[in-house]
Amino acid sequence: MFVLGAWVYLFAVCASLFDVSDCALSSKASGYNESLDLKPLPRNNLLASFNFEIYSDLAEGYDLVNGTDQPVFLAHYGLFPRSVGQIVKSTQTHELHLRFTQGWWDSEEWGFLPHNGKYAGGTGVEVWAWIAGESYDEAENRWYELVNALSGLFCASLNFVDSSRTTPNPISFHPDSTVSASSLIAGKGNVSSSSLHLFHGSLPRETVCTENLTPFLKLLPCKGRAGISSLLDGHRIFDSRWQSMALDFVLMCDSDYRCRLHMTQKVDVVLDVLRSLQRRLSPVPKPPPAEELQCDTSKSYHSDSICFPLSTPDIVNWKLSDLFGRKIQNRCLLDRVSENGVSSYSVCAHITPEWHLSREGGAIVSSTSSKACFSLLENDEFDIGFSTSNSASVSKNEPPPVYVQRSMTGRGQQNGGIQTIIYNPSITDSVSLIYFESLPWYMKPYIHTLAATLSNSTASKSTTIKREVVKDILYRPFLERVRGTYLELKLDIPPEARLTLSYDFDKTLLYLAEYPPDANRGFDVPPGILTVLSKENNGSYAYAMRTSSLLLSLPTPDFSMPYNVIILTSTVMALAFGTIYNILVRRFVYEQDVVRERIPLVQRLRPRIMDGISRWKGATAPEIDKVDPGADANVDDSLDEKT
Amino acid sequence: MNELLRLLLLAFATCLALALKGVDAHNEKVFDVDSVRQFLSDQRGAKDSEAIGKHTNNWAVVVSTSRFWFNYRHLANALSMYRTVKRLGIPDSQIILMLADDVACNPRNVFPGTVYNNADRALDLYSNNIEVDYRGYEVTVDTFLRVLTDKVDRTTTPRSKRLLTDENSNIFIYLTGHGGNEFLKFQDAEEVSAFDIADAFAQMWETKRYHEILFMIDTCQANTMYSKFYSPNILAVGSSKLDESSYSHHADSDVGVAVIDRFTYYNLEFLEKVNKGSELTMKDLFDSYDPDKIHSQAGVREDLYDRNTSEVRITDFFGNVQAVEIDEDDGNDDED
Repeated sequence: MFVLGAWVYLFAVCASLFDVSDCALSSKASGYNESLDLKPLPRNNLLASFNFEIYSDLAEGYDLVNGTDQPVFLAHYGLFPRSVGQIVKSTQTHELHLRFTQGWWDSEEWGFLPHNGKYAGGTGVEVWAWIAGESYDEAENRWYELVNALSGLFCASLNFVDSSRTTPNPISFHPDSTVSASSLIAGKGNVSSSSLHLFHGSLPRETVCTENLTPFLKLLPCKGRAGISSLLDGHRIFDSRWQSMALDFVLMCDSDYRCRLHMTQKVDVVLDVLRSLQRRLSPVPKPPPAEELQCDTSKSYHSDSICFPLSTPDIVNWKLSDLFGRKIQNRCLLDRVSENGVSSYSVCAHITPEWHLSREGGAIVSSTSSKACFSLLENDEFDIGFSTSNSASVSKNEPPPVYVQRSMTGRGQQNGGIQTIIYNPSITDSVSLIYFESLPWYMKPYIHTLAATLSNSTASKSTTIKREVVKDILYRPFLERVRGTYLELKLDIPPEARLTLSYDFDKTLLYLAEYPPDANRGFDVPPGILTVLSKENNGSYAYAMRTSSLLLSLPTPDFSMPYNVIILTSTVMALAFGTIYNILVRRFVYEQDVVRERIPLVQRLRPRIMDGISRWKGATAPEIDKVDPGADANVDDSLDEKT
Repeated sequence: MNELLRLLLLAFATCLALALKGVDAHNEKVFDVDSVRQFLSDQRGAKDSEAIGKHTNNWAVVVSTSRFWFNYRHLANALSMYRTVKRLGIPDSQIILMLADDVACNPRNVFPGTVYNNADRALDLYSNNIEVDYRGYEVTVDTFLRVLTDKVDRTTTPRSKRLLTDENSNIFIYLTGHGGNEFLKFQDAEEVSAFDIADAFAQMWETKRYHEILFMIDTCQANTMYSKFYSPNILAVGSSKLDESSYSHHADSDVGVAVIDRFTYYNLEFLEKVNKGSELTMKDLFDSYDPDKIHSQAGVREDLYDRNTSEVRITDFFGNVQAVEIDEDDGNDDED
């Protein structure tokens, strides 16, 4: 009896220790997976996409909405980084999306952005988040707390995202969460007055460098030491033609309001292969020796002694370790085997039959003519070699749904204009998209000058727009020093048509303290964001891309003027004061009217004493003031002595 | 009445006797404090336990105040000092690094993601483990003084951007940039004066935010910057005296600009010999300054500092080697 009781007791204890309910949930346990996709691009470029995904444990017994007396948000942080978890908990963030991007994605050469542009940002740093709050002001305060906390975590100046750089609720962004936001907030039958607010901020001037990559890697379970993340080296990532680091946090809940924290980190890099190879040989660019030159044989003057080098050679042979400077070390052992039993650690290369792959280490998972995948092994170094005799043959990359180009027009320091050209290359389909622009407050656009002209490739003249093209305009004007202009346009562009949007704006002369230290460089205008909607899926978001940022040159004052003004004013005041004071106080008197000073007695007696002494000694030298009676008989003074 | 007084006196005497008895009991320690202290000082290799500094944690504030590509050497100076203090043990969480511009990922940099302080390019200062707390436009006089005095918005400023020192902290403060007679220029836009920094240090002393400060500055006329300090326990070093400029050491022809300043270069030459267990003292460092090599008169201000610099180790400021504060409680902690 006693033994039975003991066993029952032990069983109960064990059952409480192990989370039995976990087995009943979906197959997605807490875990981590990573993958690397390599894809050669035209003209000897390589797109490398690093993907990292972390799921946290079940966040049981928490109430994200109230967040007050609930004892735990997440029982314990295993793989999921605690630094991010605490930030999102204290700011009541349901979704967070952070982007660090530099460079320019050449849509014409390279086609679709990786992951349909979902994880690529605009130049600089871009952040948007869905934050819960009882009121808009409460959510806004939490937004500022969030960006400040992120600035400390990622070593970026995100604290500069203030009200003038924040846009609330643009429609260009959709939450990723599967459970709809409103039901999540209400959750478990409770009536809550909180709602989700979307905030978007961007800093186009922000540089992206190794100090942003370091904390990014430290969030990963293997911290950049093992697995795919061991390739991420700032020296190579920031020597690329385009790179984007993305961090996406989503609170994923099921219908029973049991939630997991899901974080995705991605690094997408377009490396110039030849430049990276050459940098390995010599850090400073040097021309290749003659025997390594590949000549363009199609030129008429081509001969043994005359060589016109091919702009980009066709025959290439390189390894991943040449480009990244190291091989993939080991395998991140925080394992998660995917559903079909294959290890999720894979490196996949997307190639054409004209490419030959060689591998060192690892194991082949699958191999077709267009895609080869490998998995990493423990205690192993992994490297892939790519070689081809026709580097122009790359796997097909579809052209993007639209091409966009934005530039500034006008001249002078008082006003200017913005012109955006959106081109739909499709022959058959029209494309519907949302174009979002957030302008700084010192750019003052005149929305009545917003003009849209449509030109078809067939028509030689541009025709004015019809209502069918610009479906909707969402506009909120700027408030000086408080917020910028918010402009969102819903557009529907017919096939093979070019839409030109343009508007004028005024430039502002700022207060002295508002100019940055390098004011003459100009000010950066955030990129415009295009979100293409899909036709089939009931208008869900299919593709996202951004224009380039613009450099706005505002009139700058002469910064030495405060000093000049102080000096000049001080001089004028000193002269004025001095003059008036002298006029008021100074008096002029004649010299004769000045009373002679009394000479002290000692000084007066001294010559007489000396006279007396010398007379007594019988000095023969004639006294200077002794009058010679014979000499100056004509002088009147002799009358005194003569009687 | 008499009886009452007598009773009170008796009660008081009893209490006193009991209390003293309690004190006696308290003095019966489980361990011998002196032998523990001796053991710990032996571990550090000190011959005299009094030679150990009394600080318990080390912090560093490394600031480069110059913007623009041609001031590459100021950022290299700051990064060299950052690397030194990291190498000697101060963790990133206790270093505030303020860089006014980005040279590593600057489009002008032939070596992306890399900062060199020597033309031989043997050492890359911008390795894969760097955390810059304040960068770009954030580096202003206001921010710098707020970091020192911790007058920041506590609700929004993250901990990594705050100087969370206490009265047992030794702080190494390094400034570099362009300066002049009692001022230092921040980003070509504003200046901090010697009086401002002196007042900030005074505030830090009043609010018990430091145990000792080593203030090192590498600018033109740097010695004037420490001439106005008036708070105790500050040891100050400057690179050049009044009406004297500080010079760069050499340039790298591929980077295109000067890569290190003379004063910092010779400091680093000395500090490369220092490792965590080193017993080299601050006096050794100051004696190594040679005006013929530095091309300026480096100055040291010791009148506010009560310890003898020949007894102060380099690692007291540059490293993270600490004294251990022994808690003399007998172990009877109260339960919460």
